[in-house]
Amino acid sequence: MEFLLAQIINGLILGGIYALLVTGFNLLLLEGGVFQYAYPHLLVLSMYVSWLVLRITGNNLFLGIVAAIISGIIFGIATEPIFRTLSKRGAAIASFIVALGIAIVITDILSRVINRGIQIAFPEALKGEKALLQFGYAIISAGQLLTIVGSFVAVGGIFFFLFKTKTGRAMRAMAQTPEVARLMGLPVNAMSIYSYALAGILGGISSVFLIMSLGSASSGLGNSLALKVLAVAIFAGLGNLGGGLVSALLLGMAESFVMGYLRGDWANAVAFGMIMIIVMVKPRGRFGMKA
Amino acid sequence: MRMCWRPTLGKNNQPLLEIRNLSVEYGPVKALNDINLIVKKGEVIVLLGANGAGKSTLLNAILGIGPQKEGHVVFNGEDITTMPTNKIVASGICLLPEGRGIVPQMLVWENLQLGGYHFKNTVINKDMEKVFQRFPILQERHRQEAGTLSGGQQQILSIARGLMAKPKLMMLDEPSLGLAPVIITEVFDIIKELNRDGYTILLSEQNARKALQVADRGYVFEKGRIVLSGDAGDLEKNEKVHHAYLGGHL
Repeated sequence: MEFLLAQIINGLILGGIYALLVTGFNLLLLEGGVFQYAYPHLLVLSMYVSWLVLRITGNNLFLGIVAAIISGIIFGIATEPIFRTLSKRGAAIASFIVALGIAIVITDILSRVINRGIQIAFPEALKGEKALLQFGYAIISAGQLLTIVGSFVAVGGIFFFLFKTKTGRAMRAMAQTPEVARLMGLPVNAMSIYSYALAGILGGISSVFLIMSLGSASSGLGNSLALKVLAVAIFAGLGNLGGGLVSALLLGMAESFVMGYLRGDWANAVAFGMIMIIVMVKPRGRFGMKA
Repeated sequence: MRMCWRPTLGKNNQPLLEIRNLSVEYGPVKALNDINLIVKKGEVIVLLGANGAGKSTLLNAILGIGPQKEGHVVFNGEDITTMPTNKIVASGICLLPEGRGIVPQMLVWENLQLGGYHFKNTVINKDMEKVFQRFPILQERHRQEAGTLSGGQQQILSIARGLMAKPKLMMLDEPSLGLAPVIITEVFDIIKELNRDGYTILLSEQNARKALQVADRGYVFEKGRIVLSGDAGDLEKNEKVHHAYLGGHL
């Protein structure tokens, strides 16, 4: 019973992080019109920035977290001009190639320059290992609880912004009918930058949660995350925000259960197997494409 | 409600809108060739001409949409030729394009809110109230998805959306397109009413008959140039206009 609980908790954590990532990815796809394959790589970059700040400040946790989030925003905004012309021409596939290039560059730099390419480890305190709640042998640590609650709050916040505020509506209008949005007088150029900043915040927050969950980071993390995010996004239907959430949780749960009940190495295979089947049956995704 | 409005010149005796030697090219094609026209405050000006004559291009160009222009667009004494679209809308021009210009997946009231985006929420809410009073059909359907409205209702929503921007100049591109004759009459009645309330109107129309009935003056476009201009009454009696645009219409 407690084992099941532990897997569910784990599933929620993974699901929550994937939900943040896929929401950010879909946001960039819908608002920016770009296939930002390198989005998780920027996240990993934020993790490394946080690690550097922690080393410099002697493990100041607060600064480490702030650095992760702020660097997320900065990287987000920095990539906007790179994709701007492609976005204006609606060249989604070209943007994918550019993003791929960025991903390769980031991965290479991380594997050679930082820490001589060795995996970086984060201080125990940031992992929040201390058990907070206990159900027999199943425990939830402060870090895990924060991750689950934090992801829900962050994603909830984004949805509230997009669906219940004037600016959020304007951004959705820009995604749905770009010409009409323009002639209505909506500030489309400014809003494009906002969407990158928004995706950047989500990325920065995700990097904090990843630090807490994994406790370490490596140059290859970007690629493995990117594949999972892509898979979730395609499974749900590209651009489908709500579907992405559900699918992220599904994948998180599936991975966790496979790791718990079968062998760990099968987690990826099962996850991708699920995705392969759904795409063969429903090519536009389980919940339908919206982009 | 204002009293009957006689066309007057704007501040400093200038027309509200002035187009000087405007040319727009799409690659090798000159969509607009040396256009000169003015719109005085309080007027209803109509642009006549066949499809592809350049009417839509002009309206888009005024709003800052389309390729780079040669020449000048002067609004309220200010040169807006190179101004970005959102600033132009904020300065008092709105465009209701061909095909309604609404966001179909959003609700009616959300479309209206977006129309008044620049203003504070309190102002937007007051304006929405006014718009609902003027167009009760929108009040009725304010929580419906805009795409589920009929063609005529969408046109009304489009006009209402334009009003939310508190425009000084309203530009309408082919407002009668795709509408049944009864609805067309309704739309043109609304245009007349708006002009009575003080809005300056610039519209492009293929339905010359209806348009000349509401307009003060008109310009006739052919292949990107203005070939004829004058008072609406004169244009209606003009042989060429009659033959080309009033002959085959209902």
